[in-house]
Amino acid sequence: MTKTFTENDLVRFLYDELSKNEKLALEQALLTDTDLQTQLDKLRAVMSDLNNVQFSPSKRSVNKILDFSKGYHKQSV
Amino acid sequence: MRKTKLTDGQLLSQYKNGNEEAFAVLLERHKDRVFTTIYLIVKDRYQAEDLMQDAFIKAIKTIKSGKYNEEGKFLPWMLRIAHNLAIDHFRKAKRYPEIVMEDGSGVFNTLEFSEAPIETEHIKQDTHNLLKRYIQELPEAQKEVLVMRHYMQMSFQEIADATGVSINTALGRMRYALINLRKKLNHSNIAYDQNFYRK
Repeated sequence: MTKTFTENDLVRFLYDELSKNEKLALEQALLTDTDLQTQLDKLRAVMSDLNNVQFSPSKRSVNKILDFSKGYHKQSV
Repeated sequence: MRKTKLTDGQLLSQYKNGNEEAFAVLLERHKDRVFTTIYLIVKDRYQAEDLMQDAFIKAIKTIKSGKYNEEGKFLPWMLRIAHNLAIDHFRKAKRYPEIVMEDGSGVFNTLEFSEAPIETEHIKQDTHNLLKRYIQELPEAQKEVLVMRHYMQMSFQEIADATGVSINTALGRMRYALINLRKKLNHSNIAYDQNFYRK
């Protein structure tokens, strides 16, 4: 019997959280189910973009942390 | 001579022995990840800057007092500190309703962010900046799972345990978050051409 996969399964697949057997079954299903493949591609595209989302702290914050570390070291020695 | 990149564990060892430069390398390596995690939760750059400092100061105190014992797992440990501080701040602020639907949506969806415009007014209209904004606009429960899974790399089971929901609920919230982001990108003025994006 062919297993029906849900979008939750696709999310788990993308984050590598399927068991070995589940992963194999899903990969098999993707070979023949174009709708499933399309759904996966859509989710994967957003995930790929999320990897590029990054915020950076100010140089001032970074320097404050470094200064604290140096000062705390002196106090504790 | 070939320079070998030191692992976090090696840098921590050197830092424990008084090498401040080793800590500077660790900070440079992980500051953006830690800051991003906090900023996506609190949504306010100034608060995020303060909380990031608090998080690293807490880490410095723990390491220098000899209480740090998670060799080789610096980033997950650091992200947990950052996340906990951000969530504490978030809870104290009590800015959002606590009741949410299964998918994380609810009354929250109809509220305006009081702080977002300050940040968003200056956002350039390119796709990545739009995505940053759209993450901020997600229902809180969806954003929480997104941050925990994608940026903190917690498993769905760990997220379920940490947030007190079932693994299916956590998965569902992540799925809604990804779908919502995609819909918002599709509806934005910039065409959602996947070939455009840096992989």
